[in-house]
Amino acid sequence: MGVARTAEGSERDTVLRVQGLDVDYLTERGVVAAVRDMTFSLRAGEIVGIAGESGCGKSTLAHAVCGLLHPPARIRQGRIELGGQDLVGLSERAMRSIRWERIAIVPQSAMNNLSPVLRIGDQIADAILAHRPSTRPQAREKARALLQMVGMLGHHAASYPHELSGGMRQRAVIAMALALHPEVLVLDEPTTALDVMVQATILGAIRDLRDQLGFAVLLITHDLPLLLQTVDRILVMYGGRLVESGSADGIWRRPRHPYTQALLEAFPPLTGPRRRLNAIQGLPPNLLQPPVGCGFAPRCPLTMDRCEEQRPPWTIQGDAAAACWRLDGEGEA
Amino acid sequence: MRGLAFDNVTKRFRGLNGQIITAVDAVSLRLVEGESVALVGESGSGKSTVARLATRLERPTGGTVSLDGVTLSAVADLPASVQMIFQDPFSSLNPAHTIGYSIQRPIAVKERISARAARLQACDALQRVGLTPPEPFMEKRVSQLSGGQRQRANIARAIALSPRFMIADEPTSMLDVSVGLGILNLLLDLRAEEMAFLFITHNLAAARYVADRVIVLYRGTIVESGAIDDVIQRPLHPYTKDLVAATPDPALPFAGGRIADPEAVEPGWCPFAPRCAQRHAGCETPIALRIVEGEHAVRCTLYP
Repeated sequence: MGVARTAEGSERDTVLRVQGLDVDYLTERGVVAAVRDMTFSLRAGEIVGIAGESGCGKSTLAHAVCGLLHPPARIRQGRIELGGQDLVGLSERAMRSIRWERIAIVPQSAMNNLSPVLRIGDQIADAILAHRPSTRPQAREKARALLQMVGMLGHHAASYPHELSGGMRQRAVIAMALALHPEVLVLDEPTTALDVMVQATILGAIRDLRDQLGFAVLLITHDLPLLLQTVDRILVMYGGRLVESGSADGIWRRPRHPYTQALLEAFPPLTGPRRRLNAIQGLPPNLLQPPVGCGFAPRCPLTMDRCEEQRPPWTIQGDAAAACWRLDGEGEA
Repeated sequence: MRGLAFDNVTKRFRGLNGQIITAVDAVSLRLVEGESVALVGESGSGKSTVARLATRLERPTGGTVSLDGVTLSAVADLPASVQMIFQDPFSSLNPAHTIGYSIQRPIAVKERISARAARLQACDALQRVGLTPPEPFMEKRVSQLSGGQRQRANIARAIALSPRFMIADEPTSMLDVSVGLGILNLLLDLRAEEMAFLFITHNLAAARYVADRVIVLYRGTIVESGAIDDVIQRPLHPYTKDLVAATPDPALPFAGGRIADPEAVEPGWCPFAPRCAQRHAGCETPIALRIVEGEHAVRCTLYP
């Protein structure tokens, strides 16, 4: 599997490769199979979106990739390669020289977790000083430049978080994540609490910065329409597993997995006929007892006998791929 | 005059530094029986303040909010016929009480009926929002429900009083997609029962799903209103155009967003002028909301 399974062409410019990753949560009630057999790669300058609903494992994956999992979470198996180096099993000390330097994360609600008692510029300067030999005035100057890079004004460096709007605070945490020029930027639900206008400006800024600086982005959100418009490639997760991957355009034109189809259907459209949409019935699988077959089968309108009994194969069709028995035999060898 | 009406309503708050913030500025709107209207705008546009004024959780600084011609601030009690669903399903039910108590208590108070009769009505409300069978849900506390179930319980609390007007303030923004769609579908069912809605959202696509008419609010001022498809397909105000472009629609290319200009608004100017690409000297003159065609109205000097 591995390389062939990712089916993403050129190997040369791959910056991040995740292979066969399993993450567990060891709880009092048993082992939660939070992420299973996750395999994908990210090329330099590429924006890849991870879509899925609460509990599908997308945030766990983001934290795993950045070496931020703590007990009760545990990587059961798999590889996370950043520029060819496996991050799994690295000591926290070794990880500290990679995180922020080479892979940076903007965690969910980061904009609400800035220190309320420090000026924005000083918080960014602190991050720079923790990693680079520098003087505070130099670090402050760098912080001002970073804020300007994300579309803020230099004087915002002197603001406290409460003096800024949500959109401005989100820009500030993105500036902070980019402070040390990482190769990979992981954004976990960066626009969820923001209105559509601010969402659009933030994603526009991320795309522009990607064009200028060439970093790759892993963008995690449940907002599939937003991903379809703004990213290069989309991975759809369900019940801890990858169920579909493809170009944004391909997923929009021809979603292959019934879950992707149902997820697309769950967003009211801005144009076209006005009609009642069907919400997905039922609940996601209980990952304390992971399903034997396809996790979506109990909720799937197209389910067949073998769906619940056997895990569907990963079927590759051109630059798209999905795990669904309906596609079995239609794939490329 | 039947219906829920805002006549020239202004609401000002005093900010932390003592400055006056005008959250709602001379807003006039009317919600008639059985109608579904969306109030759309970005964070800070004053949409939630409008919701709180409509339910008398706030009193206007100027103008009147009235229900069937009776000024709300003149009556002693909150009217049961206007109810509200709040944005945050996690904090809008008292965690110390059972769901049953939270729903039946207002019924017992408002309708002056026995606890037993109120309980039956509460069970009926839970059934209508899809929390079935209702009895086990009556005994649960908020912490034992999922996000979607909590919002359904909130809706049950609101509909148990048989309101004619429902103010829904971003009821799905904190929920997962398919759970949120379930809530929107529930609102469609209530609409079919002739309940009138003021649906507050920042997302025009969600607005279009539940409402027939839309009011676009910018910095406390109505800048455009009309039939929802007219406004989405032929937005007139430069702000509405930006809003339509910023709403994710996979059928269209990404248009990006226009960055909010931190510049302050000069008094008397159109509030959107600092951000407007089509700003001109005339934007200095205050302009009224005026009808351009049918019920499509806009407040902009480009449409004199």
